[in-house]
Amino acid sequence: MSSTTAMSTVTVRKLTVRHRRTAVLDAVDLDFAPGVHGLLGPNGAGKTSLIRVLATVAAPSGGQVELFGSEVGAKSGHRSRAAVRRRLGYLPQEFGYYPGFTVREFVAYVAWLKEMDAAAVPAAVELAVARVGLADRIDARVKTLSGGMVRRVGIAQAIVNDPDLLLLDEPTAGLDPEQRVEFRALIRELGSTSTVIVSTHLVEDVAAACTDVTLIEAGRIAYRGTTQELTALGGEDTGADGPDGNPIERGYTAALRAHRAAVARR
Amino acid sequence: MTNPAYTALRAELRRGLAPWTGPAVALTLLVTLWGKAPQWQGSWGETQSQLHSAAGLLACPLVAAAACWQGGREHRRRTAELLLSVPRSRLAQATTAATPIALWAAAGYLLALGVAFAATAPYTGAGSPSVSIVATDLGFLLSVGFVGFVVGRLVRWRLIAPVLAVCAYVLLGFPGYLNSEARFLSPAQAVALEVSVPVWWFAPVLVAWTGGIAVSVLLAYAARRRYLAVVPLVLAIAAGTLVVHTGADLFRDDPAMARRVCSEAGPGTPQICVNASDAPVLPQMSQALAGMFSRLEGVPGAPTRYVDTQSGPKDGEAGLAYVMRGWGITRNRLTDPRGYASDTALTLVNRDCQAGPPGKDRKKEAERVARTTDAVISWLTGEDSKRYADSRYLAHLKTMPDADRKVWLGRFLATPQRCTPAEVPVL
Repeated sequence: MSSTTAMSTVTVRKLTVRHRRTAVLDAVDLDFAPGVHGLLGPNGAGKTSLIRVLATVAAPSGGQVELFGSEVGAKSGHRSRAAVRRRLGYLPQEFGYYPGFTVREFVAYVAWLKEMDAAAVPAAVELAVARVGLADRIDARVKTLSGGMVRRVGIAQAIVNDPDLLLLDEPTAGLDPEQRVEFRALIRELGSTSTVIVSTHLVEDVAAACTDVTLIEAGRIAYRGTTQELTALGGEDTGADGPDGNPIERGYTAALRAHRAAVARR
Repeated sequence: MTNPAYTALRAELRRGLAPWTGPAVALTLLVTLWGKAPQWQGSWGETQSQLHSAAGLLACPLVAAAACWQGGREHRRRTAELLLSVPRSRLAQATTAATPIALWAAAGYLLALGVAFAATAPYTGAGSPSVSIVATDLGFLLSVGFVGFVVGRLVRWRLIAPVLAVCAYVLLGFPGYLNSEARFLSPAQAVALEVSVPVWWFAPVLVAWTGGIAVSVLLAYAARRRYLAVVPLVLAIAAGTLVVHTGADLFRDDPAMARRVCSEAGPGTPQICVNASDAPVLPQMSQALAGMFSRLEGVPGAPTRYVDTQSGPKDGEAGLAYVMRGWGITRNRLTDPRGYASDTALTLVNRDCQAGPPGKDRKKEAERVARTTDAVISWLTGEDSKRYADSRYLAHLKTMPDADRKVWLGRFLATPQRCTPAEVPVL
C-alpha cells in the first residue's frame, strides 16, 4: 500500500453503514493519502455508501471517519463539518442540476454553496469549466448540453473549489472514449496535489488514472494495492484482450474470487 | 468584485420558475380587476379593496403553489444529494432559493398596483392610496412564498403545489364567512377602503402576524437552532391576538370622505354640496338638477342647499339622491342623470312615516297622498321623469296658474316632515 496513516487525508476506522438491518459497510478500515484512488467492486458492494459517508452526506452507523484530521459524522460539530466541506469536491452518482441555469451560473452557484472566497469565484468558475473542456459552452444553458457534457458540468462543480478531497461516483458514465481519456488526464493532474477517490465499474479507468485500488465486496475490503499490483494478479499482458479481458480485469476478477474463497473458508 | 451570494440570487431570480411568477401574479390581478374596472376606477379606496381581495384570494394561492414547486425542485432535479455535501447552511440555501419567488410575486403585485393606480388616478377627486394596505399585501405575498417553499421541501408529492393552492384558497376565503373578529386574521378579508382607512399600526401588526408565521416555519425547517422559531411564532401570536381583539376597529372613517365641496349658489339656483370624492361630478349633478331647480324657483320654503345623504341634511337643506361611486358614478360620470334627478326629487318629497292603523278612510287618504307625491315628482323632473304619475293629478298640477302652483308647492313641501295625510294639500 502506498498510503500511510501519517499522510492520510482520509482515515476510516471500523466504519459500519447499515440500511435498515443490512450492513452495507461492515467495520471497514481505510486510509487515503493524496493521489488518485480507484474504488472498485460489483453492484451493491458498498462503494457509493462509502463515498456518501466521505462526502458527509450520510452519517455512519458506527465507527470513526476522519477527514483532514477532523472527525465527521453525527458527533462532529457544525463548524468542523463546515470546514471539512469547504475542502471537499463531490460528484454524486445521480448528478442533479438546474436545467435553466447556464454552466457558468450553475458552477458559480455551487461555488457559493461551498462558501468560496468571493474574489476567487469568477476565475475559479472559468478555470473549472475550462478544465473539463466546456469553455466554449460556459454561457450555454445546462439543458441544452448532451449527457456527457452535463457529466462534465458535474465534474466542474466538484473541482471549482480546488478541493483537497475529490469524491467522484461513476464520473465517466455518459462520457465518450475521447472525453474519458481527457477526464483521466484531468484526475491524474488533480491527484498530484489532492486526494481523489474515484468509484467506478470501469476497471480500465482505474488502470489508466489511479495509483491505488481498493476493491470492495459485500461491504468489506476485498483487496488493496497499487494498480500495478492488481494488474500483476491478472498475469502477463499478451498485448490483446482475450476472452477473460485485459490483465487488470483479470486481476480484478482474481482478487475478487480470492476474497470470496477466503470468506468462504472462515 | 461580485458577491457570490448576489450571483446565486441573481441566477435564481433569472432562471427557473421564479421569473414566471411575477407576470403570472400581475396577470391574475389585472384580469380580475379588468372585469370590474367601472366599479373601482373612481376611488383609491375601492381600487385597493379590489386589489387586496384579489391578491389575498387569487395571487396568494398562486404564489404558494409556485413557491411549493420551487421547494420541491431539489427532489425533482436530484440536487438534494449535492446540497447535503456543501458547507453553506440550509437556512441560507432555502432563503436564496425561496426569495426569488417571493420577490417576483411582490414585483407582479406592484406592477398590477401601478397599472390599477394609473387607471384610477384620472377619476379620483379625494383621498389617497393607503400605503398600509400595500405593505400588508406585500408582506403577505412574501410570507406565503416562504411557507409554500417549505411545504414543497418537506412534501415529496408532485401534486402538492396545486393541492396547496386549493387549500390556501379555501383557508383564506373561509374566514370571510365568519362573523367572528378572527376573520381579520385572513389577509384576504374584504375591507371597505372607499370610506375607511386602517389605523396607523395596521401594517406593522399584520406584517408581524403573517411574517412571524413565515419566519417561524422557515426557521423550524432550516435553522440549525430550531428553537429560535419560537421567537417569531410568539411575535405572530401576539400580533394575531391584537388583530382579533381590535376587530373592525382596525379601520376608522376616512377623514378625506368627510370633506364637502359645494357649488356656487346663485339667484334661483340652490347650492349643491357633495363628498369631496364626487367633486369632479358636481357640474354634471348641477346640470341634471337644473330643470328641477328652475321649477322650484320662487316656491316658498324650497331648499336653498342640497347635500349628499351621508352628510345628513339639516334644517333648510334637502338630501341629494344617493349615488355610489362605481355604480351611479363611474369614471367621474353620472351613469343615469335622469334617474339622479328623479331620485333627488323623491328624496325631497319622501315621507318616512309609520303606517297608522288600517281603515278605509285612512287607506283612501294614503292613496291620494301617494298619487299627489308621484305627480309632484313627475312635474319637478319634467321630461326627465322616470316615474309613472296619475295623469289627472299631473294635468291638474301642470294647468295650475304659475303663482298658484308655487303657493301650492310651498304648502306641499312643508308637509313631508309631518305624517298626517290630511295636512297634505289636495291637488
